[in-house]
Amino acid sequence: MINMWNEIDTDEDIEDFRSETEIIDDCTEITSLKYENNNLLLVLESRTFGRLEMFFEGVHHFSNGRLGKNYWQYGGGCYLEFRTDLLGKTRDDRLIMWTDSIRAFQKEKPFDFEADNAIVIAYKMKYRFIDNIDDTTEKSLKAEQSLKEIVEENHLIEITWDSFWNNFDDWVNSGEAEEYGITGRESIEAYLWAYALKNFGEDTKIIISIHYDLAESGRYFGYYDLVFDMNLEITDDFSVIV
Amino acid sequence: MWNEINTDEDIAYLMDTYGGFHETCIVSLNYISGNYMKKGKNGNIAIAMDENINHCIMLTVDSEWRGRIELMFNGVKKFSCQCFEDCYMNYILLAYLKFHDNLRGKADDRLIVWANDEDFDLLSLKGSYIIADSLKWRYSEYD
Repeated sequence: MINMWNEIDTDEDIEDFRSETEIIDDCTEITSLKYENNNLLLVLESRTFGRLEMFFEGVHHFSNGRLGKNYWQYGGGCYLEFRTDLLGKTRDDRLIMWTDSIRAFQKEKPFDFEADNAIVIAYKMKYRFIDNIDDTTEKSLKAEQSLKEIVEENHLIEITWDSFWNNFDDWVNSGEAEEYGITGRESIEAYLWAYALKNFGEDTKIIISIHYDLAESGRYFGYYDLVFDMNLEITDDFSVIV
Repeated sequence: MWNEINTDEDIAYLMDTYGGFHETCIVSLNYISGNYMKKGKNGNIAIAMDENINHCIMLTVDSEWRGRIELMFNGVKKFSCQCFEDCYMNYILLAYLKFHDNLRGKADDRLIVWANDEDFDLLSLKGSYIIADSLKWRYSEYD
């Protein structure tokens, strides 16, 4: 399902975000975080609201603590607010601050691993849900339907599978896969993860993503993305081991 | 090839090889917890744990003179990234890298601490830092 990004521009947007991410149990986890080019993609998984992606632009600071092998990254909630007091007394730039616990607004105690929380401070933020979405707007449904038709009519998924296996076989034949215990196609279980429209600057492109697990352990191991422009020409591909 | 950091000599080798991270910058930071939501046979959703991933961070650092390296932290306990002040980005003048065995009150609980400031203060925790069980590094193939 395609899910639209929701920009956070106003206090009303924050209220919407809060109501959508209200935690009703403690089964919530920051599963990944990617920072590059001063942008940050944070993925939160919750039994309450599914998978939530938060994309921060112009990141000023982020941190995360209280991590450990024997317990989860418990998210006590999603707290979001605009702040104008974070850049000193002579500046009032409006920044947006997200944290998984209201306690993070309080001063951190050095090396209190149990008490520290995740926090992100940035200039802009948007979010979207990946699973358990109840986005029934006519616009998003039409976009989803038209993308599905484009993908199916032009066999883009089949093209992606062919490209994925060609890349995978080349990798195995190079000998580099042995380091991970991968000796051939039977070593992994690959599956279509998603297809989506994505904006690259001013260009909109179609991305089809195949994920794969290690067959023996079932561990999620990597993904392969094939990128098409709107003329359905292949423009790029990414093969990533996580 | 990954270079494991197990001893003070391993740290000295990395710091010598990479010039103490002098005039380098953070290119990217990727964190994976290793935990995920899984739907059970009864339909209930619960958090599951990947035994092979334990709070990992891949930190990519670049240098005009010494190339790009990747630092893989495993068993991350705490991390922070001070991304930019107004006039500079993720610039590193000299970095900090040391073992510590007293951070959680157990002498045998050795952790490794990397920070973007050679004068990193463990009490104030200012700047960018990563505290983890272990570290290994290698030159990036995307240099």
